[in-house]
Amino acid sequence: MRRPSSTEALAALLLLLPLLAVPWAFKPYTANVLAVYMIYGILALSLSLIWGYAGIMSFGQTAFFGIGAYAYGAIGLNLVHRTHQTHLALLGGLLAATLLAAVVGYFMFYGRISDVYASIITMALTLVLFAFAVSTGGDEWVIGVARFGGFNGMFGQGESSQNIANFQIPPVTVWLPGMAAPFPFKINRESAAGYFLVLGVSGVMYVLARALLASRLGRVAIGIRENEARVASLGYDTRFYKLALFTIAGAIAGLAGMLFAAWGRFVNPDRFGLGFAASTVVYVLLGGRTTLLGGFVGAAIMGYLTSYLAEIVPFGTIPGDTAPWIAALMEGTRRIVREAPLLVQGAVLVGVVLALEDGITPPLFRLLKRHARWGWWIVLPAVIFYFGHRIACQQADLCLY
Amino acid sequence: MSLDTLGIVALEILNSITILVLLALGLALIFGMMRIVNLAQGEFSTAGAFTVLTAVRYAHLPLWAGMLLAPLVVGAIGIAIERLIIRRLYGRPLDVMLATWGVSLLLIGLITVIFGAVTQGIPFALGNFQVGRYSYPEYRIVMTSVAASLMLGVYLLFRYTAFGRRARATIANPQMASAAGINTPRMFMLTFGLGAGLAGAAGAIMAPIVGVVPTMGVLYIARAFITVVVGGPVVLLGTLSSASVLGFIEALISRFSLFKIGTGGHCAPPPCEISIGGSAFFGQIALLIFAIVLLRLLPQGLSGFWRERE
Repeated sequence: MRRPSSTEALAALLLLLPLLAVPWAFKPYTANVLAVYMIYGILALSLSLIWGYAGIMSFGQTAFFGIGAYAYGAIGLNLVHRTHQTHLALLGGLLAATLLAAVVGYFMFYGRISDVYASIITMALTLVLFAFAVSTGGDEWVIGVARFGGFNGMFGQGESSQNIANFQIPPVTVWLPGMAAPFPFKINRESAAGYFLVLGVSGVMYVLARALLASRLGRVAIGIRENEARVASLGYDTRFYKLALFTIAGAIAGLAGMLFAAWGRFVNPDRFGLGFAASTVVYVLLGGRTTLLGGFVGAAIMGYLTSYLAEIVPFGTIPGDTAPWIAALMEGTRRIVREAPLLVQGAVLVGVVLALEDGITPPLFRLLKRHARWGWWIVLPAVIFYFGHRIACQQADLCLY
Repeated sequence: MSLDTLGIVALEILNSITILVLLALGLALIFGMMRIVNLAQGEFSTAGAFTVLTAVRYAHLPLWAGMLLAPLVVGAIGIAIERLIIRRLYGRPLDVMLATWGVSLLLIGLITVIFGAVTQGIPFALGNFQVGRYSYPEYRIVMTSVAASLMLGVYLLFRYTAFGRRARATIANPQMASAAGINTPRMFMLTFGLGAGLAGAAGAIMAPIVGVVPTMGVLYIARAFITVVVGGPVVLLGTLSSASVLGFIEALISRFSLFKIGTGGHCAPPPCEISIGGSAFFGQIALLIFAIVLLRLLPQGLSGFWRERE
């Protein structure tokens, strides 16, 4: 194994320090938004694990994400009022995603379905699950108190006099034997526990994925990406290794899905939809498919860009006395901006494939490597100063500007 | 099961097969001939449907004229996309797939910008005919005959014309074909345009019976791909055989689950395409499971299996 260089330590510091400081430096809204970017980042990590390293392009990581979310929701809604924790729901969601990945992976890899076909099968999987989730609107689609709800998403049902919060999917809640009361991981003005949970899981998943790639499984996977026939001729059962990695990636995607359901306290069929599947691929492609960090970077960039574009409405109301052609131009611009998230995603897909095959993380990292000294002496102190000031400003009103 | 129920089930199976053939033909052509997975194929169909809509609504052309126009317009779009994007990516199958997905998102976005995100209908004047106690839309029979003639046309084109011979030579061995004086990039371009045009025709034919909406392509793309994958390497034979098997299963299961839900055998007047979209999801799930299991047994697809036996 390569020893971690000082550049990697610098990169880790530059990423970790701001992320750790966020709950004190900004309002809870920022922590909330960053948490969901990181959740998408975990999903993207699962995709780059199998796509970047084993060469299996899965268009349907969202299938495992959604299954994890729905299973966590269904079990959590039913059990949280009785047991006051969501341990079983977490286990159930993880199991559901792992099992689905294992079964689909078995049929794909032992059927020797190769690269492009595997993409199509996984894509069809998530689209069919979408169609299924959409059509569960009726009264017969209820597990205990959890109602699937079709397009409207999953909700609990019960006495109408109860608090509305009881009908939502519970946050991750831990109640271990030694603890006096259950501890829910929420993100609000009082607590940033949910944020740190997501940050911690992201970090653990990243380290785990790195360890996995350094292990025998990871090295065989990279061999399969480079030349599957040669790896097979060396006596490795490539089908098994592909299945193992695919299943692990499915489990990670399921974990991300559970965190998502617990974060938003809600899940609807859109998590299976083509739009979300496309976003996931865009995150990985933009961030760089051969780096494990790339997915997080891509998710943050695309997440920020699309939510920014979705919020702006150019020109407000168009005044009545505007010349017709100017009004038409304004209306056209407004329509384009309204569809911007989709257009940006499409443009990024085409653009990155045509012009920037490795995504943006490797060039950024090269830049950091070349100017590591500047990074240590200028960028890092600047970041520390900025966040220190933010914290002082937010917590004690010590604002310099 | 009485005789007329049997008849209506047979007609529904035929209809399922027709829809799968229409959806998969252009895709199978592009995939089988060029080994390109074109994820923008669904949006080519959408573009075809919107061409018909524009022709009928805004240019006040008759419906058949719009339907003839659609494959030409979409074929031109396909050729433009091949020249601008796909040409740079030959030999990188996964990247082509991603790029065409980007194209598909861009097309959905652009169509929404132009036409808005509302569902629009296209009026048409064909009635129903009676099968015993049931009435059945005549238009579906028209669809079946169009699908059959499209398949025949593609067969004749590739079997007997000079273009077909050159295209097949290019696909079989691009270097040799190029050495023999065939303009191979042009052949790839025309084949892609033809596949796009077929998708446009499919969208145009389906337009009157489904709601025309910018995201309509998404509904079909999964089934179209399953049909192509199950069909295997031989374009026409594969498409026809897999569409037949899958259409049979889908129609039967949809029918069965519809009975269970209680919609009954009766179908309200024309714009009631029950075998497309959400209500027939049992059929679609059965389709996917069947396809995955079948590919476990026959990795080369149906036509590959037959080819091996010969």
